Amino acid sequence: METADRQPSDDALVEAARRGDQGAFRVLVDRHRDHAYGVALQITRSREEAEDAAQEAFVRAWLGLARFRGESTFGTWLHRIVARRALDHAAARRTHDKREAEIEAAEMLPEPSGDRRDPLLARRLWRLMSRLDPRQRAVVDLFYREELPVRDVAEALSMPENTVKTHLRRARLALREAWLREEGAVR
Amino acid sequence: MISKCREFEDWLDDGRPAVREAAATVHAAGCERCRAALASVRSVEAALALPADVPAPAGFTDAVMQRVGAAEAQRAQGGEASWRRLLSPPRFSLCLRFLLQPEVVASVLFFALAAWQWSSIFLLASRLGPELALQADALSRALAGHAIEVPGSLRVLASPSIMLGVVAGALPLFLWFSWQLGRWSERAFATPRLVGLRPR
Repeated sequence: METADRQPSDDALVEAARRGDQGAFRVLVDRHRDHAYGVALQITRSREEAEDAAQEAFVRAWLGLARFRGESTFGTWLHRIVARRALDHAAARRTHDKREAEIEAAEMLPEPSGDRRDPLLARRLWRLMSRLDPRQRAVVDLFYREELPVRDVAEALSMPENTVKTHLRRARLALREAWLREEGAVR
Repeated sequence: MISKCREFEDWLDDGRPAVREAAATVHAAGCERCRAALASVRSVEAALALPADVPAPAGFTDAVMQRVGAAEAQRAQGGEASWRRLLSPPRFSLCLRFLLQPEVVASVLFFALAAWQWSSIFLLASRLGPELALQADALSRALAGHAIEVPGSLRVLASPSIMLGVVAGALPLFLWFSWQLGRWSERAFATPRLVGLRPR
């Protein structure tokens, strides 16, 4: 029986998947699906589009395994692909009213299962992030969660570095103001 | 030195660069409003550091593997799919992809062949030349009888400087046309297709 210590590492699974082992890739999907879905949901604010974007990202990851050079972890590399796909889906969204309805629906989504010590903190941020533009959400996600430098964020999202910096600045301002407003409303 | 709250806010919005952190700390020590703003940014960043995991819907992995299988089946067909993937972005840079388009390859091969066989082409031309010259002369004598008048405005085109200007003006048009032809070719031959995706 396999113990936790004997679980193959992501690197080993990637190597096996690169040789065509779909079973190894399935294990990778199981390991990273929640994170991928969460990232996609963060950006698209729609369950259906997040599911579609995350699945597309995994397929693109499978087809692009030969290009994965191991300069970052598989999870980080996948995160970039998910962000790109989610951004494309968010950009293709049709009507403003539908978006507003989905933002409201997103408020009722299950809590992110990250740090269980601060579920309220995560939930609060989740709500504040809905006020951002999808591109700003994608930039914030890659910059803060994956701790990618501005250059890598720009490359992942195919936008100039100055645009990334502008999105970051505006997102920080919007989040900070919204946070302070809520603090004032709560106290 | 940060003396105004506006400057402090700018420092916050720029991501709290370390170069001005000391000055910002001094300002925040004496400004309750900026202390609150700094606390809010730290709270936001702490929340952003949390993982974004959300349980994926049931059947997610099976759906992914089904799509992977379909994509593999398409890739395994080989032949046309293989060379299409070769031209798919971003495997190569845009310039290299443009050079690999079928019509560009055909043009390069044609001119390479012409250059390689230049002596043979020149020999052939020299043999055909006198025959063509005789035919041109016969044609001009035939036309002379009808006294075709060339408009004066068109004679201006014979000027070398005018011809150079026409070529210089036509060059951007030629380049634009080549670019559009390359982009069309890329869409026609190199667009990657993944089966099993839901239509938008």
